[in-house]
Amino acid sequence: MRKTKLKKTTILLFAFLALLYVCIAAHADGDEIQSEGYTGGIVFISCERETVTAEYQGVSYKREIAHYTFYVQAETSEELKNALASVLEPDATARFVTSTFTNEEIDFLINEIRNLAACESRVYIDSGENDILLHVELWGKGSEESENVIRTKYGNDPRIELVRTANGPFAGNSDNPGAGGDTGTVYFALVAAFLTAAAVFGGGAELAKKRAALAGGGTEDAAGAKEIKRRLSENTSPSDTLRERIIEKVNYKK
Amino acid sequence: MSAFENDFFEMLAGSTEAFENVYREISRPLFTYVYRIVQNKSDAEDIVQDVFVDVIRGKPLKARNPKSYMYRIAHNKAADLLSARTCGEELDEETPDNTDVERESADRIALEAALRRLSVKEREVISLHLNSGLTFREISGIIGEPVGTLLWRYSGAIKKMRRYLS
Repeated sequence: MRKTKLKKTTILLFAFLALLYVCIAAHADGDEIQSEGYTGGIVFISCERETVTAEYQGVSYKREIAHYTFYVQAETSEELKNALASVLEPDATARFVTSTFTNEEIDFLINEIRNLAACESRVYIDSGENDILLHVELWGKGSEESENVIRTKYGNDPRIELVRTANGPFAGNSDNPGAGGDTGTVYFALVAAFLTAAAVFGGGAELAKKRAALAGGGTEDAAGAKEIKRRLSENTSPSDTLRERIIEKVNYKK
Repeated sequence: MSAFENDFFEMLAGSTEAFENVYREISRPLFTYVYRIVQNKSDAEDIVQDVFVDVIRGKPLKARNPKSYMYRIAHNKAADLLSARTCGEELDEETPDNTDVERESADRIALEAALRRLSVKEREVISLHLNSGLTFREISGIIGEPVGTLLWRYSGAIKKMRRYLS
């Protein structure tokens, strides 16, 4: 009798400690998001700069590009535009999005993806001297039918890339991505890229500065990140005997 | 077909010259990748060796992206090792011995120490992107997670590294 009581007390104690741990972890996550600069429906993630060579309509461009990564929650074209408006100029955003896709198209795409479980959307903005390139990625999982609907309507549309895989890679949720999935479920991402002239925005460089300011010193962040990346990219060497060991194992003739 | 892919398939056909080319190109980034996951040089070498042996013996002639294919095998083997460690066969995390300390610069040691504070998944995405030069799409194919999630994790990891090293 006494043993049972002791057992119960121990279980209760462990349950309490587990609950306490969960609460502390949740609180810590919340802090993390706040410190990343949460503004309404958008969470700023990062700003990095790099020089790239890109080709658009047969012409090669070499330019410095700032990559801005945002997490956006939007379920309709209006919400998407409103969310982007807090990053881009409000008017420019409306023109920007609608000049590439109509409201109906955006709603269609969002709805198709929204019908799927585990839907996420992320927006990546590359702002160079002359162009703004916006990638909207909508991730989700669904049936073959959902995929076919999108492929039929947008299969040949160069603005859209439909990435498909099966059985797991996109399963799970944001806390536990890749946790495994149901056999036969189709997981796919819809990547829409929008390209427009800087004139629409009144200058890409200006926009880049604004975004950096919004990000709380994005350019400085990028410089620091670049140095970290340089240091991280130094490889570690295996021992000199590794090559010999492999040759010996596979019986290669020396 | 890239030069690496050419060498890869010639290596499968038994060319030692092609093996040397493949080894020269991939051994260091692959080793760094595995080492960053398992945090033990000897285990990392064993895994890299097994990757080569599996590939050469298995002859995956239809591998669409040989480099990703090798990383995927390494990823699975490293994951198996980590899961074996957590299932009771607990291995001590390697700490650099005196000779290592003497050999490596203070910067390098600080970097490795900071890296150890990251999660395995964070170290993995950093290494695949920065050491191996793989795109996030290729990484997504190797470790089976969405590109967006990887980007998020990568950028968070870089920020943490800055904080740890500042």
